[in-house]
Amino acid sequence: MLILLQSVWILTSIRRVAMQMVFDISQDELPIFLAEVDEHLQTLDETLVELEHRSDDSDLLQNAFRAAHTLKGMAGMIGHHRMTNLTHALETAFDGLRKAQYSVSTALIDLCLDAVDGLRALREEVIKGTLSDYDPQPLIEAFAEFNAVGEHQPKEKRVEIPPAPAVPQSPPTHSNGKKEFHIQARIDPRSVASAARAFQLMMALQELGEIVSMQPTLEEIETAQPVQTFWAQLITPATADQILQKLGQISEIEKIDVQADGDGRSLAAINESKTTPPEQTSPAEKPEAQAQAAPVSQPGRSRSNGSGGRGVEMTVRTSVERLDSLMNLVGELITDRNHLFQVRNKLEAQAHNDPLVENLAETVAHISRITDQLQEEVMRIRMLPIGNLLHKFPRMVRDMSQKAGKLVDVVIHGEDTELDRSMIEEINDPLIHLVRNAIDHGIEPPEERRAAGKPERGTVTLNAWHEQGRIILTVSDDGRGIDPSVLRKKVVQKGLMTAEEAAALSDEQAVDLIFLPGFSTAEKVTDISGRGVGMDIVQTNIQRVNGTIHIETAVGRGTTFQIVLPLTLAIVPTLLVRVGSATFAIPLVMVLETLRLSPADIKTIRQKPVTMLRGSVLPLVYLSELFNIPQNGTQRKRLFAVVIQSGKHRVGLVVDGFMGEEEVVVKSLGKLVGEIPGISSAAILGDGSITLIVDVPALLRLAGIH
Amino acid sequence: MTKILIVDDAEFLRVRIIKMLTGQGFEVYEAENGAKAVEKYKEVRPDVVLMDITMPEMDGLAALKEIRAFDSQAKVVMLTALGQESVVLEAVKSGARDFIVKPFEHDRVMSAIHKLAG
Repeated sequence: MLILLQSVWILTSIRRVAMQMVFDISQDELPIFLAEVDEHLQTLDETLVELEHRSDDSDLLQNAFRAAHTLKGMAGMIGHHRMTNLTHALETAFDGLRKAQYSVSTALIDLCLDAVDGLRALREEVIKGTLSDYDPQPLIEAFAEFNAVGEHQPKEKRVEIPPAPAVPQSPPTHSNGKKEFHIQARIDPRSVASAARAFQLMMALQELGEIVSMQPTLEEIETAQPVQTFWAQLITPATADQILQKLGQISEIEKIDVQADGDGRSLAAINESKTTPPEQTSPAEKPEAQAQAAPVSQPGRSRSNGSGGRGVEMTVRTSVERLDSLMNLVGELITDRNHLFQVRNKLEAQAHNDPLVENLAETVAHISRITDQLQEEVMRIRMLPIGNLLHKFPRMVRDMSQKAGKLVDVVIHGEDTELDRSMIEEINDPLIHLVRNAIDHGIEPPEERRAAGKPERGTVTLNAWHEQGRIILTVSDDGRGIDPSVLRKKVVQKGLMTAEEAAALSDEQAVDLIFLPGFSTAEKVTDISGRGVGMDIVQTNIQRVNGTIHIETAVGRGTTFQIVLPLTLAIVPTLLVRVGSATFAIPLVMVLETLRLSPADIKTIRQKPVTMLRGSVLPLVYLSELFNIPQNGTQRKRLFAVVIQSGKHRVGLVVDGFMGEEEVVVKSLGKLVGEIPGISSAAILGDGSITLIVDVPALLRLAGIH
Repeated sequence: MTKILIVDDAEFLRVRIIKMLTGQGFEVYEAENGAKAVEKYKEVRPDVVLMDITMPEMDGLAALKEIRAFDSQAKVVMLTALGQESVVLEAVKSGARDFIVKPFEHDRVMSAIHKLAG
């Protein structure tokens, strides 16, 4: 074990070293860097796609500019030069748009989006800590072409500073102790805003006295063009040393000359600048810098390092693992609470009016409330707005519709709707698939839409909201809809059904055929909808998280997929049912209602048991038969059924009795038990017994209903 | 102890500067946009402010003006990038005491702070 740990440690330290060699970033900074880069790339994706339609929206442009600008700064800080260059090109493009040097075009947006993709590739390098062969140069050159077209005049025009005028022939005399100085300062040519340094020099001198003349002039400085040499004639009561000291406070000044009254005496000071490595700091500055640096770097005074010194933080960062384990603990607590309830009930039955028992009952009630609150709070911590997931769709839709030769807009509602982060991960793929389908199969090509009297541009709408403790998600398109008769033909062609079977299907059932494994309605396999991996996978994925999916469609008008999801995966509200001596938990999200049945209520149609429920036929499934549970007493007077809904199927599950509702904490069956058809997982009940959680869709497949 | 307020919308940059400055024994506070910077300035009265220019909510220039209106002696150093010459000039005119270009070096930040805090 120790050896293993050691080798892991060695591996991680090797990785760290490798990482540091490529980029200047430490392991603890890495997650922050990556998350932030991701966020800005996402912003770029979104704003770029929006910008194509709303090119006059200056806020959008400002957001895009800011994202590119921040990314550039971050890339620079870790020394990722290609990333810096590419973001710089992007930023320059946005700046050109801001200044209306050129306008938004599809070609430019394409180029910008390519750059965003390029940045993603470069971000990967930071994750891996190695360089890839991605070369942003072609993109940077393409950006340069745009800029060349847009730019009116070369930017690097320097204001020619005439040489400093000679010392005046007749120096004016000044009474009241004032003297005249000629000051010349050289600004570091690498300063990004040398005009601002000139301005600072001017302000500093104005504080000391009166500037008689100055080169460049204030007007010239205000053009913000680069300034290399600053010259001024100053009348001041201050001494040359005071002037030097004052100007020495300004950064990026390479050299200062102060000449008094034309007496030819020159005082020179070399200021700190980027040219000077820290070890070679000029003697003039060194004592000062040391004097100030020394006290603060004393170990005794750096007591406030870390938490103490930082301002009060309103947020903390924590890992997903920690949240998961917190959720697990809360789950255990809920199990115990349920157990406590049962103990209390037994005690109350045994010892009526015992003040001790009453006392216990009160405490249990209180613990129960607190546990509920705790669960709610923990769940809230784990919640993320679904916007995190939905925001990538505008970009995706743009790419997909371009490939499919269609014109598609995206509308997103309810991006603030929150759901458990694990749920967000689970529904990512199904959502992508639904959106792809909407573009590939739903929305018609522009000509077809025009011919049908529809607007050329189709719309895909993503909507999310909370409803009674569930999340509803819809993906709608205003395309051609799903034609049940086409599906009936298809299913026969594919040999999945006979012509009679297909003809017997209701329109709704026919539409549901798209959920059949191996059923795809695309005429040809396209780049977008993929091959074969179809709606059946989508449905399976959603059902795996105890969700359901329905289709609403109207030929010629469009299709809506509605996904209903529980708030969390970890704790499931269930209905407990008894079958023989076994207990099963049925997720409440699947339960429509419960029924009492007498043997007379049960009829047989085509050798299958059914019952009539408010005038329509309800197929019955005996849980005891499905799970081979022996029944004692063949003739039961009273039976119970749980009416469940899975997709479009409504079925009555016949059970021996109900044991109430309980929130159960989901436990995986683990590798030892493996997969049991019709069972999704297990849970420990309040009384310590174990129950199996029914996987309703799988159960229905097991029962041959589909 | 010298108090520094670092204002930048990029958390990564704040984290990096905070690490650099707390290592030198400074008391460091942070804000993620101009509006919060003004608030924080009034609350903690830092000796030196290091402030990004391009930020959401309130940009660095607007925040600089508000801070200087509240405290005419405020020592604000702007953090900038290439291509912002005129904004930097505007900032200096509005009372910024210095500016540093990103990506900045440790020594450049330290020297800017020492010049102002000394």
